[in-house]
Amino acid sequence: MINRKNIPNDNCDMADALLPQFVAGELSARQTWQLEKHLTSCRDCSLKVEQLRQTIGLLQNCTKLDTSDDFMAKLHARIDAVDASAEDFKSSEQRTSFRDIFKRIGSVRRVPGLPIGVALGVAAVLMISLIPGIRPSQSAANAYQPDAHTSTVVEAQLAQTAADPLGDAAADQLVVHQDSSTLDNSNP
Amino acid sequence: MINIYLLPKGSKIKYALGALAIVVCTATSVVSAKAQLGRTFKRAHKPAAHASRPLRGYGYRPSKSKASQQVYSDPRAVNLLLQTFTSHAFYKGVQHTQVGSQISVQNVMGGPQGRLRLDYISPPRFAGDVMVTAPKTFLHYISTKQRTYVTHWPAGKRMRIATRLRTLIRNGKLLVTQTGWQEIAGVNCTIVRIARNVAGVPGGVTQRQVWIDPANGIILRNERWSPAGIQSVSYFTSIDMGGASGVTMRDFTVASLPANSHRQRIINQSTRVLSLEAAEQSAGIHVLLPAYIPAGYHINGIWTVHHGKLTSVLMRYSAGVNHFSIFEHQVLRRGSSYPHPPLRPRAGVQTWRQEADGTTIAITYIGSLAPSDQITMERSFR
Repeated sequence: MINRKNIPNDNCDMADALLPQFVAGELSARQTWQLEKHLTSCRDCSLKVEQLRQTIGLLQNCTKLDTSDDFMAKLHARIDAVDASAEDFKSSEQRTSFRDIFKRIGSVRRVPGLPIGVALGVAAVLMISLIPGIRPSQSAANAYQPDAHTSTVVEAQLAQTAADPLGDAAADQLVVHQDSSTLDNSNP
Repeated sequence: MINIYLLPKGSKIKYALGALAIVVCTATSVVSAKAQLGRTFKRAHKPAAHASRPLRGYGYRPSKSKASQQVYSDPRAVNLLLQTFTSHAFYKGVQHTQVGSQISVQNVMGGPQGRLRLDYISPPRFAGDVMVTAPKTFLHYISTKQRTYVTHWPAGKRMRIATRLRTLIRNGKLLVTQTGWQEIAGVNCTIVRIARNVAGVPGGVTQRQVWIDPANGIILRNERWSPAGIQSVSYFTSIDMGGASGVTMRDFTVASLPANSHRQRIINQSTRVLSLEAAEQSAGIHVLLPAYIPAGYHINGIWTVHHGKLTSVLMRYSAGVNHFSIFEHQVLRRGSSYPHPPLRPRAGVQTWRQEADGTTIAITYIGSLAPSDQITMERSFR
């Protein structure tokens, strides 16, 4: 069970489960705040949010076609007709494949479990420690994580802009917090 | 004086003086002809497109620099623009700001000497935040953190910016022109365009377009431009001025912010230094510099920013009224979270680390450069 009230800063799994609701705007204010806090420190999750938003955006921009009133009825009739002809063949295939699977499981049971478990454990440890791509600490180190220093320089930048009547600090506030997806400098 | 007619016939002195006179006359003719040719040559190369523009800029006659020979600013537009620096009007209104697809809405209060207060209404992540700009202070209250960041400026910073702007205009590096009139939030405004004077680009490259209320010197719409187009726009949707606004000087003080907020002075001491060497000595790092700088930009100032144990070096690059900033500091702890040099640009703010002389330097870029310029520059730090 996911404790949705508290999202640890480095727990991408928990954040991952909330992303669809986050994009749909269905989370509570507290959950949204906590998730946004996580997103500021996790590039992977931020990218997932962006991909999710882009996917939804693409789907929303798809051309909608009108169909005739009896379209669904005709479609279901055709699917039923196809299903009926293929049902015998599919059921016999499934029975065969299930039997094979049960046989394989049975054969695995006869293999000693302890050596297999130890071997798998060692392999997992080796993978985690040797392959840089899946090492959690390394991936965290390469991720963009704004820290106290970055907050400081952002504030210093806002202050510089605010001193200039032509500066527009409100625009800078949006610029320094904008997503990677808005890089195209498109006209507003 | 020697009278040659008194000299005896066939005298050598007579012949010598005659030869000298011929030489002098020839030399004078050659020099005058060369000078005449030179003037003609220069005139032929003066661009005809802008030569015919009238020069009525009583205080804004451009200097004889190369970039400023062609076009001149409109003195009325310049005066109106500089009026925004000295406005004493109180006002209150609602402002919308747009960057790309992002929009924020703020309640705005303004006052004398550039006092400005923005109370964020939206988006939700900024709602409740407050920015207060006062003559010597910048306050940024963040409601989710219950924290107020405080930055102190040296006295007269605003006027120094005005002086720099005036100098750029006078030198012909910036072109300020009036392009029309438009009503914003019920106020008839003069549209003033600020462009960087670029050789070969008639009228220059637009950097700002501001809608100014000529009666009060208030900017009601501010467009920031890059060569690619509009970067951001802020505009009032409603505004009340003078006594009707109900704005007082107290609205621009720290006392007007929520009392329970924790105050954090974001820059303990910010000092402008005269040289890169002085900054390096203060920060204890070898400052890395970009080998590639986007066209038109030049380093405008170097500061050291102290916060906690760290000393950062701030380098501000400017092209006309557009700027970007580079912050650098030494990474003190191992296993730092700063990523390696970026593969692709991140808009707004981007931080990465690089090795220099055996130390790790964290570099932060903040600005609105075009993505191609940004990534080329970020990869060129040496």
